[in-house]
Amino acid sequence: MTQSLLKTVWLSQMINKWHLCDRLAGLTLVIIFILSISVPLRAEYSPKQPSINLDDVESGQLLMRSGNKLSSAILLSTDIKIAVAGSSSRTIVSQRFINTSETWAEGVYVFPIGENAAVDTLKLRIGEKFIEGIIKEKFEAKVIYEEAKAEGKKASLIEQQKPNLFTNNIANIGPGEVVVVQIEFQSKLISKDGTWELRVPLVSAPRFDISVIEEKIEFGSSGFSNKSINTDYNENIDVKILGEKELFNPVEIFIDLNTGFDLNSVKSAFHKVNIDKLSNGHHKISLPGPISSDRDFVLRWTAKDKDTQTSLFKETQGNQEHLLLTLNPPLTNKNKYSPNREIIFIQDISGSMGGEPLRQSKIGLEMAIKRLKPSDKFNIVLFNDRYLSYAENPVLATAKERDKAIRYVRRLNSYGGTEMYPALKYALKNFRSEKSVLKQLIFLTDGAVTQESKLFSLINRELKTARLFTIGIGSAPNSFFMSRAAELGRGSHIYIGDMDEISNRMTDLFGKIENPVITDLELILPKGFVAEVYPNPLPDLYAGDPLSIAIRGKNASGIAKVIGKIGNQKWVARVTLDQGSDQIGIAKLWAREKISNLERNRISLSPNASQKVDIDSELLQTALNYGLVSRLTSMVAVDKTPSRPQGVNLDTSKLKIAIPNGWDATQFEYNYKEIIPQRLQKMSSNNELLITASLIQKSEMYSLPQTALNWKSSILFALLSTLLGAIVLITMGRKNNV
Amino acid sequence: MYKMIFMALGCCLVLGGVLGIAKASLMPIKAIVGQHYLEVAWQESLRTNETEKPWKNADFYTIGELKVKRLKISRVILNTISGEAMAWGIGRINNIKSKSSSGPVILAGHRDSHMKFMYELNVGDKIELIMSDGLMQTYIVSKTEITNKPELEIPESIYKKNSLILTTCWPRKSSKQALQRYIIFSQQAV
Repeated sequence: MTQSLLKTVWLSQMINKWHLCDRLAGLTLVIIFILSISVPLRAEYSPKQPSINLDDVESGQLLMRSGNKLSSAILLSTDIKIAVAGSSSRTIVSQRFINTSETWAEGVYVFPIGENAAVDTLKLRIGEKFIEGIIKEKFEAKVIYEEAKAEGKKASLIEQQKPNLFTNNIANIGPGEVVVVQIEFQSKLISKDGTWELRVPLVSAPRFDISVIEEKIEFGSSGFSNKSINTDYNENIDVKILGEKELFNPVEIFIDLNTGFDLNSVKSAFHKVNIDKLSNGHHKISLPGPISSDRDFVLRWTAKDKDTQTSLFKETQGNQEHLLLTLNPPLTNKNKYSPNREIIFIQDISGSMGGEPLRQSKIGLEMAIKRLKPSDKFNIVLFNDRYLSYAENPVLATAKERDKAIRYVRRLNSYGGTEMYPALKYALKNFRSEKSVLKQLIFLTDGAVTQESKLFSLINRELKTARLFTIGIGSAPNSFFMSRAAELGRGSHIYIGDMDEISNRMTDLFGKIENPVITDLELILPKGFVAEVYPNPLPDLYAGDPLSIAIRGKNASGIAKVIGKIGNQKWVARVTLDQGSDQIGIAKLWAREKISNLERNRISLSPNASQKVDIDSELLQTALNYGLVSRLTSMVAVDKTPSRPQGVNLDTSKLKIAIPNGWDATQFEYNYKEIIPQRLQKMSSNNELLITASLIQKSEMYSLPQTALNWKSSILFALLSTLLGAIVLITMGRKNNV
Repeated sequence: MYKMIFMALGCCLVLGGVLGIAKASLMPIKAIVGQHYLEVAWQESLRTNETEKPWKNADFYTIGELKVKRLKISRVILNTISGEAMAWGIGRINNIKSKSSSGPVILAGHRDSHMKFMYELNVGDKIELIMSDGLMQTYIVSKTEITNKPELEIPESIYKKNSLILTTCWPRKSSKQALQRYIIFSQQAV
């Protein structure tokens, strides 16, 4: 104990010493600045990150790979149909691509969708072949795909790379061949502050300043070609997006909005739309013409009657009933009640935070401290390979205390290794307030961690009533660790990679967590109704958040109660379970919710825990039963093309294309010559269509750091300052003598 | 009265200047003295086959060593290019990315300390590299290049081969923030 205390004292002394040094040097700097010379005193280090993570891919992309060469596939068209029914939506995305390379290629289609979406259908047309995906255990699917690929057959494989990111590999696409990809998924719609929003991602992260529509993606060395089968998510996949001029990508969107309740308004946020009103609760929305995908398509609607925002939908599958219950608790920003909070900030000051990351982090921390109310309590825990806290126990955030803390933060320097465990443990045990006070832990780090699982189990064990929010800082934070930690900590995670974003993102986060919260939520089912309920445990609700619960059981009837606490007050809502209206897709949403829940439970376990096997087998069974792509299941394609009838001429060009039953002919039928843009066509001597090939070589991109200490000029500079000072002193001394 | 102000100003300048000198001279001293500790840690890690931090509170570890016999140069390689690590030695840029031993080793270091020798290297020079497997590989400088942006794109043709790439800032002597980079490509000698 004493030893750790001693360490702490030593650390603070070190910090102070450095501050003194820095301040004096800083003062000199100011004086020197006045003398209007400007030479940087420090080595600058500001790495840029040209490659982006798979997390950042926000719209579907297709790549072609053949041998070592990778070429961009050109997206010819995109058609999106969305059917909104109550609080869920079914999206069908159809896209046409063309293989512009001169060789047979494998296509990799990357598509990001919402975290709570359930992917269950894949349909493909490659040239004359029609292929439909079926769900299989991941390993089995991979084997089937690889075999088909090796035999030169058309095949396709959808895999989940991350909870919100999927890839689709398409084998053996011929030169100039057109690929039609159709993917269907079920999503849950969530209302915020009484407004429902449907977002169709059409464009990549804007920070890359890509003014064009489609991008080329390249895969890092650890990309999808990986032969080994890994049932864990591949966190190391890097995708790079390059700007590519003059690609065109028209998008058509059609939405069937059947909310089931009367609407107050329906609006498209950025695009002109035609709204066809069939009834008060049923609208058809279409675009006047194709739009170019330079911004997301966003549709918002509000209900006429606020009460109707409580909804209950059900779907019966087998002998099980699946219910989706959505409630909007009476929490608004207008609410007078504002909770008292106890906040502990954990700030990483290890060596790897040096430079830009720490600078950003300090700004963030300062903003957070400024926003505290005088009745809030707070503390700051600093760590590198040791840890140290601002105060022994959390202190009241009076104006004086806040100023003091801000000065304290401004003086921080980074050095030393990274030992997160003891600091996190200390912070988790540092809360002193009674139960009704909101306890929040805010963790700012670049997340350079080892032994993630040890930290996860610590959070799981020691969290109690506290909530953990993680803020990732710098160019390459370990977002896997931080998002999982926040999930386990029942809080949320944000990543700030850009100085310009810091203010907005922090304001968003703090705005949310300062507001009243419903905690200790619980669903009490009527007697005799046994059901599986997700999420489990129910999350906290912040102002404007709806509560959405997925339930599965036999013979749902009677009255269920949802209870929770707002501060010290009790909150109760009653729902009659028999009143739900039937809705297709609810079962899939329930399964998706269960899978998310299992994944959350799994990460809190230590890597060798035997429960992991049980969780995995339950997850696999759920995904297979409900036909969903998951970490353990993939969708693999089976050739569905009707075999060529006897006696028909082998000349394939005369073969009539037979579109399988139940497939949307408007999407899968096309006239090759009509859909290829002029600029891609070159008429050869045989009058055959030739596609101009655009091949690019696969390459890796690295950002190179600033590499200059500039110590010579610094010394020169300091010498100059000494000399100048000496001259001033001497002349002044002389004047005194005279 | 203004005399007092001038006196104070003079004192500040002198004091600040002296501190500045101390702080700035710490940089090359760190670079030289640090190498010794890095060398010890590196030898230790070769012996124990585990990653060794050069001192307890360092946020980096040693992963290899680079030698140029002609220039009598020897540098310990660190796993990262964080600002902290680069103050002490040279770092590997792509340490996390490449899992296998194939693919290039890309190193970066400060142009006015650890990587100063880069400007003395010529095409045909031999560079010896020892990574954590303990085996020495010889590379021969094949190309030098100055780029106008702080990025390096490595085509797969090079990526596939075993190559060693050294990078630092360009121009050689400048007090401004350098936007150009000096890059030396070298291929493994067969």
